[in-house]
Amino acid sequence: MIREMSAQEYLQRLKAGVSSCAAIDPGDRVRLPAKRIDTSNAWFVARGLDAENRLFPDDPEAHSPFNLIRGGALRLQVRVREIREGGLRRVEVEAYRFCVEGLPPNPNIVRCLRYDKSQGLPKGTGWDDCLRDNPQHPHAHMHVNFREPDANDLRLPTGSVCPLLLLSAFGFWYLSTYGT
Amino acid sequence: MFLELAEFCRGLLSHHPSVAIVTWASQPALESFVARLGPALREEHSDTILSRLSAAELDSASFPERLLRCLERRDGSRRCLLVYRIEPLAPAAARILNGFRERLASQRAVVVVIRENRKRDFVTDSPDLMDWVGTSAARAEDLGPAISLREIKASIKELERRHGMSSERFLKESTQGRLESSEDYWLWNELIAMRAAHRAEKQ
Repeated sequence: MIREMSAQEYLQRLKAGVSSCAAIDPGDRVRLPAKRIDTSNAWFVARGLDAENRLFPDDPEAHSPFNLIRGGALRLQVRVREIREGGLRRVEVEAYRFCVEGLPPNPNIVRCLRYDKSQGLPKGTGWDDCLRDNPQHPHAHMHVNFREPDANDLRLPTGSVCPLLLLSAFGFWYLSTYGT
Repeated sequence: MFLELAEFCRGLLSHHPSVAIVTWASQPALESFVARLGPALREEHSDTILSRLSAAELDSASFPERLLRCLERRDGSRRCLLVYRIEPLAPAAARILNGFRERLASQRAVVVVIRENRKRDFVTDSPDLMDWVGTSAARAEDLGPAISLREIKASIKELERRHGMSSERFLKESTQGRLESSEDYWLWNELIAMRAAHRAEKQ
């Protein structure tokens, strides 16, 4: 997924998306820690990252997820890379993880929802040359869990999805389900 | 809004008079910003000199004296004045800086650093200065150092220790579909990709 804008601009839009997402607790909407990866034109954005890693040592908010207004939490991690070609700046969303957990009871009986896209195609067992993907572990996929919050065996391929679109779509469903 | 120190410095030095406000929430982020501002400014404009005015040990009488001394230096047009640790005397410091606004223009740029939860009061007490700040606002946390190879390696080491396997074995098991997805595994994959990009960039 490549867009005609700079990484800075994309991250600012993502931050604006977070600050206008009414599903997130208002006091929590202000922060979306982002850091450039040294020596490369890549950026890493994180909320709800594992507390033990050292990527954001001076930013505790990177380690706490967004709290949702009617219950539940959202973890968001995105890696983008800026590509410069002939004076043009383009941005590619290389990887993302969008995870909603601990949802209160809802008509869809969803407890946990997760979108994943990680670096590199998951070749190896299950790789299908014709599909150019791995049905056992599609490159970009989603998990929906209705009972166990951390079951992982249902991976439905999605193609690459813009995290900003995910945030907006999830926010719309959350508010229409639980109210403002 | 700025997400990178280099962009912040570019914006700061691109117009005159130039005043920016930087907020902070965590002490390490503040210290990191104060330590890195000088080199970053010189990277943008090599003859820029950074003057630091810390108000930690000053009171509302000595603060304007020190400020005036900084502003009267002859090479002000090359200087960027950094005013920080003003929280103990925030209302007075805001009014003083607001009153000295015209004199601040003698500097190449001015950066005022204030704790995030004190910003609202500071802004209220310095309305004229804020007109000059405009959109030149940033958070020290956002302007922190880039993720270094050392931090990436340390995070990988922690994951290796926690899961009792090397990254090579993790990659092998992962591609063979033997591992269940988890928060850790997604991050582990990412860290390995970042490390590879880092190495490729350096070659």
